[in-house]
Amino acid sequence: MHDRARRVVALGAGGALVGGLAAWAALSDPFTAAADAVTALGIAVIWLEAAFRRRPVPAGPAPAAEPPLRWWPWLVLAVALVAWELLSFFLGPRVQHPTLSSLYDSVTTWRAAKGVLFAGWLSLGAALARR
Amino acid sequence: MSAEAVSDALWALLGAAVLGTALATHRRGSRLARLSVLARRLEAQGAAFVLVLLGWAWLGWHFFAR
Repeated sequence: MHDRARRVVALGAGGALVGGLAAWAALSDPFTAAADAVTALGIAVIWLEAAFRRRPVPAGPAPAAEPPLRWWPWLVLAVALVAWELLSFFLGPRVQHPTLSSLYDSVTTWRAAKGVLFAGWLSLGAALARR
Repeated sequence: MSAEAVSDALWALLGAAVLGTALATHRRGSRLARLSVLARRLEAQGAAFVLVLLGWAWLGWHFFAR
């Protein structure tokens, strides 16, 4: 099979897997065996991908040195997010100072939103595991 | 302005900042590190990459299984 065809098949299979698990997650209720199972399955798939995916060997000479990339805006955002989450958690009550968890609870009253969030979480894991 | 409105506005602002930063990294000639670049750096550290994967798994368990 050609590389392109193989990539299309892999992409289709991955998309179907993410879609299927997201649909299952959307239909599951928290604190049930189904919710545990679909989350555990998602974690297992990504960890297996991370464990067995081979890193491609770079071909040719090393690229020319470039000026270093700026990463500090990400650090600032991460600190701001964690700080506001902690502040909201300790300030209370949740109605006035919602945490990410309470925002998530509000949004996932719609099952479709839960499915989309699950698919996003799984895709993030796949992106991290991809080498 | 109520505390709830301020809180919601701040969450929306932080969300927009994350999205805006992620989009800015994809601009041609941007010197801002993409999240994928940060992930590769972490991956190269070995133990840090395992911690990132554990953190990702905890996030999923916290939100979807709890």
